[in-house]
Amino acid sequence: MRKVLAFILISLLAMPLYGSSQWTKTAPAGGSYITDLDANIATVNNEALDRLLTNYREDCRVIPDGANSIKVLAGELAIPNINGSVVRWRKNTTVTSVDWTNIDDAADDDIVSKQYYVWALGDADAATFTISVSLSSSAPDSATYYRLIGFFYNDSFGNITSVGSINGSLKVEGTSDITTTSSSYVDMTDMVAYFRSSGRPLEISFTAPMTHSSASYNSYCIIDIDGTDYNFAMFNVANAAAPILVHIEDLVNGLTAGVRTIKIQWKTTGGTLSQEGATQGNRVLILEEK
Amino acid sequence: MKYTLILSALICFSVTCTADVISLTQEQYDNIGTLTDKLKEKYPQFKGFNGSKEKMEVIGISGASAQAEVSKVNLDEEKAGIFEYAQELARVKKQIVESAIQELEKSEVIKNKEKIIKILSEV
Repeated sequence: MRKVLAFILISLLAMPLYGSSQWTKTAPAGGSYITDLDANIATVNNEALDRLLTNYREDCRVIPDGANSIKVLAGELAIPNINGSVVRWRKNTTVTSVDWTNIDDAADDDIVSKQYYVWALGDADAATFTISVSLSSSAPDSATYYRLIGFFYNDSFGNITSVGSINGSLKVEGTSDITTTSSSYVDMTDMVAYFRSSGRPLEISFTAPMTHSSASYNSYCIIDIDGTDYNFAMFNVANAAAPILVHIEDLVNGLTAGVRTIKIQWKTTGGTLSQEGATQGNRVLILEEK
Repeated sequence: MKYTLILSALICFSVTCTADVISLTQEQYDNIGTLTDKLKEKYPQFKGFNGSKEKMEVIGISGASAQAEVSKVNLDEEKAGIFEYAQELARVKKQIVESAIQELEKSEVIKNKEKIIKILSEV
């Protein structure tokens, strides 16, 4: 009986202490049995490593490059297949220019007022990755190894705007002279961003020099996300000839993952509120996921 | 009933979310406050303008109504009216200052009378 108990105790000590695979620096050891190699390398160490590296990405930022193209910066990233059983590690050492020739389906080329997604592909037998642009937010056409790295909006004039990286930042800028005499909130021209949120906290920053025809009235600017109001600023321009710098910031938590429409709206209780981008400085909206 | 409410909500949503767009001349853009006042007089539901000279949103009324009314406004006449108003204000201000100086000159109890009159004369 005593021997049986001792055997059970030894058996328990020899069993792994973890329910899931863990990175084990000492396995496989030089004296390991060949029959243990699969378990040590594939099941234990590779699984543990994959847990950290499957979402790996260094740089590969998506940035604007005019009205009809974007750029993808150099960098490294992991590109999995659909179930993550194979992850291809790829590296580009130079900046890649991307335009409508990179569309995954010719029928989707340059459609106005549409959200597009930028994918890194690892299908080719190469150390580098290629880029595909798609209307699909879930997978590009005809690809096995793909990873979403960015997004942009093709506006009603067919100009590429709201260019951003996944888990990254985005800037929109207004350069024209604009005014409002509205006493209820209305959208400020060019101050709308289509941001693909990952669900992480989002820092929003808006800055613009503004003037008003009279010091007798108050003016307001507000951040609007999908129709919900966030932080705002009330201001009064004491000197109609000299602009004041209006600035609003907010850190928004709890956004749902997906494309969010983020706007700046403005209004005034009377008179004319102006933002003269051409002569007094541009209005700028910057979004950054934390 | 439920469908009626949904339909009403959709109609309200479409009304508040769409605004007609017109284009203005530089002179009209520079005097958009005057145009706003004129349109509010005629159309109480008009809520104001918003945007750039080339793409100006009209809030609360149709673009056609706004464009027709804007075209009718004679900005030179409006500006002349404002000029006359400013002239009248200046005349009234001058009268007030002059009568204040006269009263001060008559007074025998106010100290530094000459100094105050000098300041008022420079207003």
